[in-house]
Amino acid sequence: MRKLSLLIIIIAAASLFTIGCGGDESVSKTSQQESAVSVQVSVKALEGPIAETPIILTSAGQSADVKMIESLLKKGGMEYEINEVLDSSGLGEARTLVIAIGGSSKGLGAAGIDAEDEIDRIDALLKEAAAKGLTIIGMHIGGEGRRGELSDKFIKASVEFVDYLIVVEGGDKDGMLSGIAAENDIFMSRVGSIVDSYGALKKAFP
Amino acid sequence: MITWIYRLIVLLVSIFVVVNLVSKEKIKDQANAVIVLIPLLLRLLMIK
Amino acid sequence: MKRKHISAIIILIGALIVTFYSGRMFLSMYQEEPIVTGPGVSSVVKLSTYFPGLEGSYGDTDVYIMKGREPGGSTLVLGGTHPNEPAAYIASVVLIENVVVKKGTLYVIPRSNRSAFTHNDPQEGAPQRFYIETPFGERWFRFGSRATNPVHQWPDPDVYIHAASGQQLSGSETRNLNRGYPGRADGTFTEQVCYAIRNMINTEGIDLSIDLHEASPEYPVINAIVAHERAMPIAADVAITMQSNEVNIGLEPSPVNLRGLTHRELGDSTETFAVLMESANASQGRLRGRTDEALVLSGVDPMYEKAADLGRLFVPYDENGHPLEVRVARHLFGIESFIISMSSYDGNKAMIVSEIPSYQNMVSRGVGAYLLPVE
Ligand SMILES: [Zn+2]
Repeated sequence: MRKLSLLIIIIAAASLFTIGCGGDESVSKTSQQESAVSVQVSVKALEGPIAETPIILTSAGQSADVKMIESLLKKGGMEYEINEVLDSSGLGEARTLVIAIGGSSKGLGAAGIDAEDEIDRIDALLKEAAAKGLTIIGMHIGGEGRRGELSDKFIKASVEFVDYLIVVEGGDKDGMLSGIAAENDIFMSRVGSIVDSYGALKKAFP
Repeated sequence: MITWIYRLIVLLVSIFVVVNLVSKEKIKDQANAVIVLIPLLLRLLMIK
Repeated sequence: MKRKHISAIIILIGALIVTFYSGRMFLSMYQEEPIVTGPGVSSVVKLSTYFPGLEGSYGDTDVYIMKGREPGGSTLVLGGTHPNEPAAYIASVVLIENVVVKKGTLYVIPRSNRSAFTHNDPQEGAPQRFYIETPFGERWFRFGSRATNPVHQWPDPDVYIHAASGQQLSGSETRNLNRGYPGRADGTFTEQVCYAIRNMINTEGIDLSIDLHEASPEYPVINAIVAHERAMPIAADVAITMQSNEVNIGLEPSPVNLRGLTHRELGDSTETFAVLMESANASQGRLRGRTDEALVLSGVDPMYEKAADLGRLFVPYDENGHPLEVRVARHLFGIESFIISMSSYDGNKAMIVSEIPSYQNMVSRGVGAYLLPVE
């Protein structure tokens, strides 16, 4: 009796193990195939200036990428203001809203807000900016590191509202960002590094 | 102070384990006791 | 004499032999590996200079000072906050053995938690030491524990309450140097070390403090800089510099509600720009396979490759692993970029530091090429 029950347990454990392995492998294969297909999506390239200064810079997801963009703007001598937690009433005289897209749990912690509040804030902000006729430029400069569950929430909440999307390549390996851009007819520029992203941004201004 | 009380307790337990070891008839039981004793000695000497 | 007494005596002698040899092995971790004072080191002082309470304890550790001829800014590099993060330790040793400061002062504490170098984490199967080939022969370094040796600080409470904030963490974190800041003069052993380091920063007016770390590949904050808000403009500049040189690094703000860490507490309780850097170390990870010296040095691990395929990691992982020289190169590149960036951010804090091995050279020549012969 004892031996029999032991045998049953072993068989059950072994079958669980094989189910686990088989399942995982098929999942990873299909996702690879999907990504190989969707990267092919063609996006609309920016042809001329679409934006004007002054710029207001904010974050979608509270990652420190917004500070890196600030550093680039400052070095480039562009006229800008920054408010990481800008709300829809704070757009002021700005003609262009630049939004740094990418989530950081540390950053949300630093700002003392949770992900849901952050999504509500950017949703209201982007709708207000569009209503006021501002040009909205989205920048995803964190590459692969700014993808995943948390960041993707903010990507989904913001990218469809932008007029022009700048992406550092590593962040679009699976084609998700170019997919949204193509679907919404958004200008998009894929660049190799964060430094190149400034060149792509500059192109949007006369 | 607390360290010395602790070491005293460990020493006491070690002595009990040795007494227990010596009083066992079977070698298997003696080996059992000695496995308990080794980490106690390392603690007593504050090595690990 | 009875038969059972004879066997008892034999078994007891056996126990004493086992205790003797295993004890000797454990105690061998107390032997410190040599660190050679390089051409730029102007003096070596004890950390207890800044808090006499540490004198004679295992918390007292060497501070290497490299003073330039010209006055200028100052930078502190903390290696060995967690001695199971070898790239952090080795990067600080490479600084000590190579760097020459022309302007300003560089302070390096290679063994910030000296006690944590004297033991290994139980049940982790980690090696006690690892060896690096140099042109002059082999150099050895210890692979210690994340936390203070419990022989030096015990018992652990069930819940560790961070003194300055009341934050609650698991009891063993009470021995984690990077949860004890800003530290207390009358606190635990670990808090006293924190207190001494904070005092040192205040006494010397150190402008920039870089705490070096490594993280396991499944941890989200990895290949990253974490910066206190005052240090953020400098850190953003460093992240851009590193990324434009194809060194992938992220930037994270220091959360205000995560207490006891260098990038929060040193930034709040001193004037220093407080930052922390992380590289990827499989030998401290939870998903790792066999944990040996080779894993420490190469970072090659089939289990992590598998985890990467399943999309569970926050860094790329392939059959090349994350070799020690690459991790050290990242840290050194970061340190150099921070010093340059601070210099242009505030001219009063300018420093000129030479002979930091470049990223490319460290990666291609290896760590051994930048270690000196031991006398
Ligand atoms: Zn660490």
